[in-house]
Parts: sequence; structure tokens; C-alpha cells
Amino acid sequence: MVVGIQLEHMQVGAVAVLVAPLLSALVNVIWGRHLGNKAHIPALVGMTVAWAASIVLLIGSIEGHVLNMRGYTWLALGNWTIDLGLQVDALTAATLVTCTIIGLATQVCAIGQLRGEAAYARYFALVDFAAAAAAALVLADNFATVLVAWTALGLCSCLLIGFRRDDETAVAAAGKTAVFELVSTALFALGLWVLLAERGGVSFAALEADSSRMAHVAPIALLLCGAVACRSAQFPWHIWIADATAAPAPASVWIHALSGGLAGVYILARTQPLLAASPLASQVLAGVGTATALLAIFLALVAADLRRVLTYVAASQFGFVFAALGLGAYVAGVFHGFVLAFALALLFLASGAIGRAAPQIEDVWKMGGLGKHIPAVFWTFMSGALVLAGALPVSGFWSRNDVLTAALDAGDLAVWIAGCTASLATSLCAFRLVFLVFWGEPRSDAATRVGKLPASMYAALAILAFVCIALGGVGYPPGGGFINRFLEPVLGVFAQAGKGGLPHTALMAVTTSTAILGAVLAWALYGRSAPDPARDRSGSLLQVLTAEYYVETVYKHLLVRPLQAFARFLWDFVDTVVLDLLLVNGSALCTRGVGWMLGRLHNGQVGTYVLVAVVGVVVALSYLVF
Amino acid sequence: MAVPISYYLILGALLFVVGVVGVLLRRNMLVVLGAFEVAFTGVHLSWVAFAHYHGQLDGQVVVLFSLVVSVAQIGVGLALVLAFYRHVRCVDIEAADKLRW
Repeated sequence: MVVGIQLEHMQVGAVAVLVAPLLSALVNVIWGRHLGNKAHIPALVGMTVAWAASIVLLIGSIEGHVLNMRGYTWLALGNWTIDLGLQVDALTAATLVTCTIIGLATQVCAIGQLRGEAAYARYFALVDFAAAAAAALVLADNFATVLVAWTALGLCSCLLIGFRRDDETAVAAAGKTAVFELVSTALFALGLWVLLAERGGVSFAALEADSSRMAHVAPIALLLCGAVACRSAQFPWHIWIADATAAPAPASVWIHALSGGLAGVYILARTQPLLAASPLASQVLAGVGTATALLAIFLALVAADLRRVLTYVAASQFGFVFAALGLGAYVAGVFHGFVLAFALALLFLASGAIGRAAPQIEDVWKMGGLGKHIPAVFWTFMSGALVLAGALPVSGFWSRNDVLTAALDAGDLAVWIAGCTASLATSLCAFRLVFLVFWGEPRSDAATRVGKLPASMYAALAILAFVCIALGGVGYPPGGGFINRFLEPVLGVFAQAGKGGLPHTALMAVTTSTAILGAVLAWALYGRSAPDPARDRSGSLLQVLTAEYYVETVYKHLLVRPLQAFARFLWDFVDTVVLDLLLVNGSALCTRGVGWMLGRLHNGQVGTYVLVAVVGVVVALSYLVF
Repeated sequence: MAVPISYYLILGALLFVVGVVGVLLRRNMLVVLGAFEVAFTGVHLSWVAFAHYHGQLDGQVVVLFSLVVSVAQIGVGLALVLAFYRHVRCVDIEAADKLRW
């Protein structure tokens, strides 16, 4: 099938995908107050244009075009030059399509979700701005633009978490997020700085040839990995997401699936020559990813807040992706990243729909039996859960299977075992939600009074559910599917492919059996009769889990307390004593004292003045004469 | 026989010192103004002596100007003393200490 997309079309598309959401964000910023509850119209127009343009780019990429738009030299400083420009290759196009489909679905869903909210226009402006930032991040051909877009995305996350600014917990959560976003941006900027010092430029194009000959490749790669891991809530930076549920539900998609997930995956995939040239950074990334995949999913297993469970699942699953990237299986990692973005978007939107239909209950233990009232949400949530669980034949199975296969092929048995365990736990966790929320009898009064949902929310859920189920097709057959053929020219072939020794069918059997085992376990624990919440909340292991492995306590004692002590020292000593007492009051006292002493000379007696004048003249004359 | 110039200069210096001491020590404003004039006279005397010594008239001309200025000065000074006296009913220079810290 040849549509005949030319490079000129792709140029227009690349600019449109960047500018359309930005313009619609501006429209809402300027006229949002007057648009009132019609604020979604410019947002939808912008997103639809961006989506259509990204489809053009995707088709162009499939037809083999690679677009490089040279921009201009933004900075030329001695040996340093920073050129800004756009590039579109297969990875860019695929990521853009993922972002715009999800972005469009979240905006459609938000129409119903946020109807009646006071700051309706502000929400759409923020998400459109986030979409523009994401487009800039993906289209950029250099690290400098990526850094700006990365920071803008982080800003959007903070603003979306603090969206309900009358709510103190939301504002506090936004502040906490801001700290982590700043850490992430700082790490990224440091990496950029080292890269600039080493190479004198920041474009991606030169990475390919240069990175193996670079002296400081490990620090650069580690800093980039750190920035991405911090934003994606990887261990030990996972603590900011617990409070991030204060954001409106559709915004969670941006915070956890796109900004704090796919964007990082894209950056690491785009800079894979750096990773490939630095075994240390790769190992650290794989280790951190694997650890998070395991640790975060256990947190999800005991969390009671529906969206908090999903945020932990997001962190855990993106841990999988980072493990794959660390092992060198870039295509498998990116594919799993795409699948996850869709699945998490679906689940977050579904959780928002549940929150809309049955307001005031966030605790899954107070839900139950919702499937009877909102069957469409149940079925779409179910398909999302299936993708997370990785059951045959939905997309999650193919992508997860690729990642696990890569772990085995790379000879990293520990990662494989951890991955299988985490898969099992993910499946358990996904079906725990399904059973607790939709199955059985209502466990509270609120769960019996379930309202109707706006059509827009159903539409959004349906689009995403379809993509979630169907996307698996591009990963078939494992290791040789369309996604491999499409992305391998950009990301390279996985070097260790097929070295694991186990046949594909055996691996697929393992992957799918973890999914089934998890579902069965969930049925046994939560599906039969009335499950007991107390069992989920006692025991010493669970104490560790509810405390999120005490990481926050460690931060408190290692960082927060010393910083507070330092701040107190600055206040009590430096400010109060040195600045206020010594410098401010001291200089005033000094001036006053000198003034008082000199004032004594000015006694009003003419005789004194004349005497002083005479003495002065005598002294001056004797100096001149002798 | 001509008096040597040093005599005039010594006399001028003495007059100047007497004037300055008068200004510094006396408390009556009128006497202080008079002492000023004495000091001036000492200076004028030296000037005239130098002019005569050099055989030029310039110094004497300047002294004439200076006399006019010092007379005007005394006029202003006496007016001030008069104004002061009208306010405080005395001419004690130490009573005029309002302009101090």
C-alpha cells in the first residue's frame, strides 16, 4: 500500500503536530474564560489536527522517508554550537502517533470528566500545552530542545497535580512533584553540559558515530538515565507518585503514562548509542528497572486507592521497559512502552469514569459490584487489565514476552526471574482491581448509587480499548513482527537475539502462564465470596509495604532533616546574628556613634570655629613653608 | 633715615596676632569685630610695607580695595550684632550657640 506521502507533506505534518496543540492552548489561555464550558472545542481541534498530522508522518515513515529539517544555529560560542532543528524517523512517528491518539482520547474523556469544573478551560490549556511539549520533545533533533520540552512536561505535571488549587493536599502533592521534576531536569541539564563540553554540540546525529570514542560517555549516560528514572518514578524516586492522584483522572494519563513514562523511554531509545557505549549505565538502568518492576508492583498490591494502585503499576511496568533498554533490547523496550502507554491511559480513564459514576469513593474496598451498573467501563477496564496481565493474545502479551525473551537472551537470569515474578504480581494486581471494583456485592452505600456517564467518556474508553487489544498485531511473530522491521533501522537489532536457547513457544507459554496464574490467584483471594480487607492490611511485611519501603523515612533523615537543620542554621545564625545584628544593626550603630562624636565638634560657639580655622591655617602654612 | 622693612613686618605680625587673639578670647561681639579690624590692619601694614620696599603702587592700591571690603564686612557684622541684640538683649558671643548639634 503506497499512499504517496512526500517529504513536503511530512514537513507540514511535523510543524502541524507541534503548532496545533500550542495554538489551541493559547486560544484557551486567552479566551478560555469566555469559552466557559465550550473550552474543549479548540482543544479537540488542536489535538485532532496533531493526530492527523502524526498519521501523515507515520505513513511517510512506513514508506521509508526520513525527514531532517535544519533549523538554525541558536548559539555559537567558541567551539560550542547548538543547532535547532526537527527530525522525523520511524521512532519519532510511532511515538507521536501514540502520544496524539492517547492525547485525543484523554481530551475527549475530559469533556465528560471535568464538566462543571470551575477551571474547565485551564485544564484543556494545560493538557494542550503538555501535548505541544511532548511533540517538541519527540520531534527535536538535539538535546537542547529536548531539555526544554522535558522541563515543560514536568511543569505541566506539577500544574496538573495542583489543578484543584483550593485543595491543600493537591497543592502539597504538586510541590512534592516539583522537587522531583527539578531533580530530573537538573540531572538532564548536567548530562547535557558534560556532552556539550565533550563534543561541542548537542545534536543526536553525531551521537551515532561518536559515542564509542567519547571519554565521558558513562557520566552522560548515567545522568540521562537518572533524569528519566526520576521522572518515571523508578526506585528510589518512586515516592512522589503516591500523592499525585490529586490530579484529575485524565491528567494522570499525562503524568504517569506519557510524561513520566513514554517520554523517558523515547529519550533513552533516541540516545541509545550512548547506552550502547556505556555498559555501566546500561547495567545500572537494567538493575534499577528490574528492582522497580518488582518493588513497585508489591506496593500496588496493598494500595487501596484505585488510582494509586495504577500509578504504582505504571512505575513497575516502566521499570520493565527500562530493564529491556538496559539489556540492549531497544525495540522490545520501546514496543512495551507504547503498549503500556495505551493500557495505562485506558485504565486511568476508566478509573476516572468510575470516579465520575460513583463519586466520593476512592477506596477499592468500598467498591464492588460496579460491573452491573457500568458494564462498558467494566469491559474496557477488563481489556486494560488483560493487557497489563499480559495474557494471550492482547498487545501486552507480545510486548511483555519480547522483554522477557530479551532478558533470557541477554543471559541475565536474575532479570528474567524478577521479570516473571513481577509479571505474576502485575496480573494478580490487575485482576485484584477487576474483582474488587466490578465483581461481587457492593461493599458500601456509595457503591450502590452509581450514576450515568457522559457519552464522551465511553467514546474515549472504546478507542483506547480497541488499540490496546489490537496493537499486539504489530508484535507478531515475536522478534520479527512489524514493529521490529519498522524500528530496527533506527534502534538497531538486538545483538543477543535468540541466544537464550529456549524456543519461542516455551517462552510464550511461560509468559502467558504467569498471567493466568495471577488471574487465578486474584480470583482465589478476592473473587470468591466477600474478600476481607483486614487480611490486606496486617502483618509486618505489609507494614513495610504501606510505608513504601521506608524510602520516605530515609529521605527524611538523610536529606530533609539535614537540609532543615542547615536552613535553621542559616536563619538563626547567618540571618539573625550575622546579617541582622552585625551588618544591619551594627552598621547603623556604627554610623550613629561616629555621627555623635563628630557632632560634638559642632557646638555653635564661634570661638571654637575660629580656633579650628586658625589652627588649620597654621598647620597648613607650616606644612607649606617647612 | 629710612626705617627698615623688618620693623613694619614685625609690627604687622604683632597687630595680626593681637587681632586673632582678640577674636579668640573676647566674648563681646563688638570687641570681636574690632579685633578683626586690628588683624586686618596688620595685614594691610605688611602689604603697604612690601609695596614701598619694591617701589610699586600695586600693593597700596590693593590695600585700598581691601579696606573698602573690610568696611563693608564690618557693616554686615554690625547689622548681625544689632539683629542678635534685638532678639536676646545681649552681645555675648557665647550666647549665640543655637546652631549646634
